[in-house]
Amino acid sequence: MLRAGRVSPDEPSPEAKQVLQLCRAGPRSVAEIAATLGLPVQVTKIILSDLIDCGALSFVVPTITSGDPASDPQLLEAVLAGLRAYAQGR
Amino acid sequence: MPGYAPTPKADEHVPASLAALKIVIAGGFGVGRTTLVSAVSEIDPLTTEEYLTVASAGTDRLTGVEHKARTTVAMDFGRITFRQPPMVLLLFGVPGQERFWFTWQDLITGALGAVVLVDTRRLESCFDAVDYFEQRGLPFVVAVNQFDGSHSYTPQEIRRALDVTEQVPVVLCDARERRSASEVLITLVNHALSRLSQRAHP
Repeated sequence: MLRAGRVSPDEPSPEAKQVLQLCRAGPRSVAEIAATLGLPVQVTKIILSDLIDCGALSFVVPTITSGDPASDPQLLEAVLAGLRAYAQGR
Repeated sequence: MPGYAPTPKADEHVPASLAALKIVIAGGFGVGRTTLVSAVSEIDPLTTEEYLTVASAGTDRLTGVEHKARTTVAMDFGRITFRQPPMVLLLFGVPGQERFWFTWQDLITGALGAVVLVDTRRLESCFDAVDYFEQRGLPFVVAVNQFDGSHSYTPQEIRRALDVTEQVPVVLCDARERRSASEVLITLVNHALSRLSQRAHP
């Protein structure tokens, strides 16, 4: 997941502008950014890595990298509660 | 990179760590996978769709979906954000046929579980997906999307036809309804939880 930083690149490309706009609304996954831009994931990753290098984007470390969510009962309980509230309609 | 200001400090609005969880929704051709993702997603689902080519007509069986002009050959992506605790649930809809398995490996890594979406008119189109998740030990549920004009079967009949164990939930759903589609996800998370407690107290 990526989120916008405080720095803006000097001359962002139209794609980079779009990425920053998207990530300012909240952290976004690479898959979602690529799909929104209509670009292949590999191309999107290059745009993202340039933005990360200059500090305009940073990683939000998702907890999925730190373990198997299917074996974390507390996490599953939290998802269940969230989904139940969501199903009732906000 | 020259010309850029130094790296900023972390933004205080967003937690440094955010739980992002994945659920994979696998379904054969024309089963309502895109519909299910759009019913539960808080955003319009992002989909890469391409016209079904004449070349695939011999490969993909069209019974019951003869009039379907487009089919998803890529992936559907949806998202649900929970505020408290901050979590994002990412939904990935993927084609169920075996020849697309190469796209699944990355997706199921770290996934919470999977939904196998089934159309009773073409039950065999989901055998591959059931086998796949069984082999990899990923918690999954079978959700039967009820179409108008399809013969209605009981979950027991479908369980027997698919030869899945009693532990795997088989539920009926309407993929167009948010509540119904959300219930499928709730069933999946419940199932993942009960599998854990069975492992802890066999």
